[in-house]
Amino acid sequence: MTTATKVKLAGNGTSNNSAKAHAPVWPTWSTLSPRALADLDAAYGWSLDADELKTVQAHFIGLKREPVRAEIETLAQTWSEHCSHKTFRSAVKYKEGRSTKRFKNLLKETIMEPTKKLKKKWCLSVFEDNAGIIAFDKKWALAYKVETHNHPCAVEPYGGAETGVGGVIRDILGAGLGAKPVMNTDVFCFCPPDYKGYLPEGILHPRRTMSSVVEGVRDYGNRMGIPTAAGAIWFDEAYKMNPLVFVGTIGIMPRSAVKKSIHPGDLIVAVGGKTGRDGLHGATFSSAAIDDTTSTSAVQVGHAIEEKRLLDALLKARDKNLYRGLTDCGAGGFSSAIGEMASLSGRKGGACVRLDAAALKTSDLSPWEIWVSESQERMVLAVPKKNLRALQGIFAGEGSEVSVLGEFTNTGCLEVSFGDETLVNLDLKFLHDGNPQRERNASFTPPPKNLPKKVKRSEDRSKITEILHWSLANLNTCSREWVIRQYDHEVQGGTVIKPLQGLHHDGPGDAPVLWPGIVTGEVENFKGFTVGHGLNPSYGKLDPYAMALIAVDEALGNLVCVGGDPTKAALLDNFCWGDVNDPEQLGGLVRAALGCKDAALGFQTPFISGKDSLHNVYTDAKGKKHSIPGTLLISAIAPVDDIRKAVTMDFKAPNNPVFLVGPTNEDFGGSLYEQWKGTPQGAAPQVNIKTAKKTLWTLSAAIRKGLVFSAHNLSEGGLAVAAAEMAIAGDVSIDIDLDDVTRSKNLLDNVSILFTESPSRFLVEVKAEKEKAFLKAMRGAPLCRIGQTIANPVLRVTGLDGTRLLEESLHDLKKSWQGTLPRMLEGESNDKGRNA
Amino acid sequence: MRAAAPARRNSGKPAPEPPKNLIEVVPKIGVTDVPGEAALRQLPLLDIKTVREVRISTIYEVTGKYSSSHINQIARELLADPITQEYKVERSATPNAFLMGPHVRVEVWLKKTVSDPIGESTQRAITSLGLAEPVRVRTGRAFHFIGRLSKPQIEKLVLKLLSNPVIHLTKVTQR
Amino acid sequence: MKKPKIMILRTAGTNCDVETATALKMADASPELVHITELAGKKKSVFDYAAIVIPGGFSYGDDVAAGKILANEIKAHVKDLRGFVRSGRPVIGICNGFQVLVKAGLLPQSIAGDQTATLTINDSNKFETRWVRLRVNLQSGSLFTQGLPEMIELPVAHGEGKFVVKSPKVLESLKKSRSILMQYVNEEGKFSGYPYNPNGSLFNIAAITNPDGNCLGMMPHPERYTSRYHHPNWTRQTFCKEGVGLEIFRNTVKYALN
Repeated sequence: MTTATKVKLAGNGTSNNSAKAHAPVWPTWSTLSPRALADLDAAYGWSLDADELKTVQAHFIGLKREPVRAEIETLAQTWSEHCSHKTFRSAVKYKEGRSTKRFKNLLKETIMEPTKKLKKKWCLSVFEDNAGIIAFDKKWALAYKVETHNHPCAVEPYGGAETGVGGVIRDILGAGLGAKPVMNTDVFCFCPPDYKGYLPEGILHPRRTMSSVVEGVRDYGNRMGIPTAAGAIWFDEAYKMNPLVFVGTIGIMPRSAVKKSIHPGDLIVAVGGKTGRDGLHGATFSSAAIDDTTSTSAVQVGHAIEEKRLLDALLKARDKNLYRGLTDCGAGGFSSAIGEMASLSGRKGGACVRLDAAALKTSDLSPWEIWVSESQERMVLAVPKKNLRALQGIFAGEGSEVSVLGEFTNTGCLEVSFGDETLVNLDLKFLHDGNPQRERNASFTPPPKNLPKKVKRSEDRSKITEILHWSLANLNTCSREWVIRQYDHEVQGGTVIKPLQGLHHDGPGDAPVLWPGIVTGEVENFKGFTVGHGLNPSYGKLDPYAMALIAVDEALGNLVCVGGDPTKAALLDNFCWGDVNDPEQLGGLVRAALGCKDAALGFQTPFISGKDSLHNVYTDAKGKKHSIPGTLLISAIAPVDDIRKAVTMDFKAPNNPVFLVGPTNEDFGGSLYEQWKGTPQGAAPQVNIKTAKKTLWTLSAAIRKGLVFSAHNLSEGGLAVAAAEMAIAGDVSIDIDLDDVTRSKNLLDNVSILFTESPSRFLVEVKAEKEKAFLKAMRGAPLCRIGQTIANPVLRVTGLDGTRLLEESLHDLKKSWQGTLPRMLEGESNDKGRNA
Repeated sequence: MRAAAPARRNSGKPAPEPPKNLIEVVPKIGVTDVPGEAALRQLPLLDIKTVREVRISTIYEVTGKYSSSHINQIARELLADPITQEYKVERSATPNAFLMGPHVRVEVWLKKTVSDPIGESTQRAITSLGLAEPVRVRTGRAFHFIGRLSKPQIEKLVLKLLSNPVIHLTKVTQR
Repeated sequence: MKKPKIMILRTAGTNCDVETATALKMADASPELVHITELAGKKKSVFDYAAIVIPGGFSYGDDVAAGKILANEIKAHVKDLRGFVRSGRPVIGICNGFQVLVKAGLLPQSIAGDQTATLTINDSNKFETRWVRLRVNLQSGSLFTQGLPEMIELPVAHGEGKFVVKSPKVLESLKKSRSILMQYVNEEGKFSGYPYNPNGSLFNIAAITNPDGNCLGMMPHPERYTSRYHHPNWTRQTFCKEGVGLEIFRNTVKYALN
């Protein structure tokens, strides 16, 4: 009955009492001109391009029949940028200056290549599942995924953030046979919340966007009982139309649950929430540019408790081996989830779906709407028939829905019906590999090489105190306590190194350390893990390649500081880019991807998962396109062999020597100082990967030997800001002599030494009695002793000429550092009782 | 709910909806309205300085056939906290006691197409009072701004602080 | 030695059940996670257990108000809980569990069994996670705090933890019956405002018991301080004690055994 010519195809696919009574009549595809196809695409909102429409048309002409709506919807969802990453996986002709390079598949030849070459045994599942999976110890594995949810957050930040968190949690539940989420991460890029300039109608004010996104992440994560313990926020006015919201989840699973194996005959079982009209066309929406007429049907709110029920039931079912495979219903809903799983069934793959049994929120859904609806909190399982009853029992016990939607087959076809209507009859091969490949053009203009190499900044000597206060209060440096406190970052009892560190629990930690022992019940197993981030789009504006290297360097550096093992670190990439149809924009992306590749090979640190969000563009009323700055987030995860040896960033006690580890050079391009000064200060810093690796690896070994009392990674604001932060956090200060800083010859004066932002650098406090052992352990790595900790609560710096350059009270520095976010977000009279 | 078979989808008109009962839960007089105060602090950021006080109440729209004593039971035993809150049901004529003098009331509801998780929880929770499950519960909030506000100021409040037209419907009444 | 069977009562949105179970195991008990539907369906009875813990989380999303819906379900379907408390066996409500006990009218204990206090929105209007200093009322003689020092630290994480009472009489009777078990204090052990009192609680109240002392409700999370590595300052090496939260569970187990 499945030959296409015999079945009764469901014309328009709309139900008779559908709200959309005026839906256009479904046309005869085979006769449409390219122009008419394009109009149709626009009317239905599929976001298929001319080539794709032509391919679909030709496919059905070849089958000698007309497509029906649900089939086109399925193809549009599956081929969407969101689901297939067609740009990143496409062939690219890349011009850089005079040289040209061709990629057959950009992703494979950049991000994925080092992973293949490095062949790390502890990489258990990479780039194939809903998350990257690495080994944790003999028994356990860790799954990590970072997603973006930018477009929904621009339109409805609270709901967008909630559903973003919900989605990435389900990615972890759907990795392998499911992992238990033990930590969430969140990284945001916003326009400054005190922005006072023009905003077009319908664009939310950045203050509102930020507060609502934080509330959404908070309410969903806290309700799920997953600690949100690591993250970052970057502010730049360029994000005013397109805020970026990256959400990540890490889960722990038995190593036996890493792989799926779906058998023909297994039941297709939908679990969790019911299906409604929510979020139709979310996948295609997320690849479309925001403009003044952006459709809003794709916006949803989350229902965390529905997902918690699902989580509780699912993990019980996993431990009883009741299913063989599963995936999350994300973008594209059932169509993507079942389509994806179908290809894992048997040799040829296949699925036979009957939508009649789907649990619905409202009865007026058309069958095709059920098929592509993006209602949240749903997953699809592959369940052997004999296990169905047991599975139903577990889900009923938790109050979560179960409905059987058909079975997986080995026919090579995706067949979907509702009642006696056939909705979809598609060849899986065409569905997954049929989208047309075309070469895209990319070009990058290398930054000018004749930038000044020596700059005198001594005229700002008298303003050092001012620059330091300004830097600490700067949005990209200031305290994130206002955000972090709102997250339950300690639920599950595993956060042994907290995101806020120091004597008063308010210092800016480089990374948290998580101890899964409480969750697994293995309280004598002191192995843990840590997560670090690297993100700095201002370097990307100068050179995306440099940005990528610095991001990897920073993410790994953050792990090292708390005691992570960088030799077993794994990386995740998230590219958020603008209009990649513009060769210049795509060129920047290629260059950043090349940076990722070189960094991964250089540090010998594989990528295990990634995601891209492209077309973050705003088209204004005049038709002008505004792309976001190319933004790369690197997330790194690494084991901490013994959490009892973890280290925090706060200075601990007076009279200890303090070392600056790593090379100090003239690196002011994209720096905070540059922003303060308001004039360009040269090129983006270049990471010397060989030196960087030596520095990080050696320091890490010393930390893990217990030779380091506190460690902090230098980033925005350089040495001055890092020293101030460690002192503020510890209520123990430091006396620095700048002449003791080993530096490159072109670094000329006090201001330059204090504020240069050379990568791969750390400030390290060592117990006086361990100084010798520390120096021995650090042999071969660049380092210098620059001063010692002091009890007096003032930050003290002696200049190159031996005179006192800076003496500033920690209390005042802390005030500058802490005041910014509450002032901008809470409105008036907020400081009553704060920081008492 | 399962999708109706196609044949049945055409059959006749749907049964008439049971009545909608409105229950509004308000902070008691003398109890600090913490979210209201937080909203008040946001107003200067919108250049609004004429509001003295903000009071926020929660409104539950319970669709189902209930006697007035049942509605009162739902309000008393489930929706209003006996220590800090009081409630009124639709038919009680007394205005909120704190609404003396000029004020603006803005009701914010989720659009019908947006799911309402709090409403769903409430719907199930009503059964543990020994009552039949309602057809539906939708939740909204009513913001009361006590002080004088111009039309453009109200519009600004509604759009920039209280609601997002993408998911919300609003109703403004002014005195 | 036989391990006492202790119930951890959970429902949709409970989320501190696993770490509470681990804490009880560390204290040598045999914890069992029990869903409220199992009690409502009479598959299990509270009297099968030596003690009951209602852990933290967001039962039913804390929709309507924190702990309210679960409290109503307990009133409707687990009527035995009141008798369980009267029998003298230990009951602990932590965070959301405390909110449930208060809204179910079990704490503060009243003759009519009605609700005489509540836990309402924090003065900061925000959910906040932070470590707090607590003064333990050593005069209370409560079974839970035997051997504890007067000053302890524990984390709180809640948005609705401000303890308020229906009338001044309720507070008076709590004081008189030595039922106020823990209060928020500053570094010097003195009552102080935000952030030391993280939510604006009346009389800085963080934990109360019934007059018999066997039913405890507390906003701070003892299950999050069962190891020294839970403390935010363990890397400063200024103290080396194990987690004080574990003591509370050990005391519960010790009492349950007798």
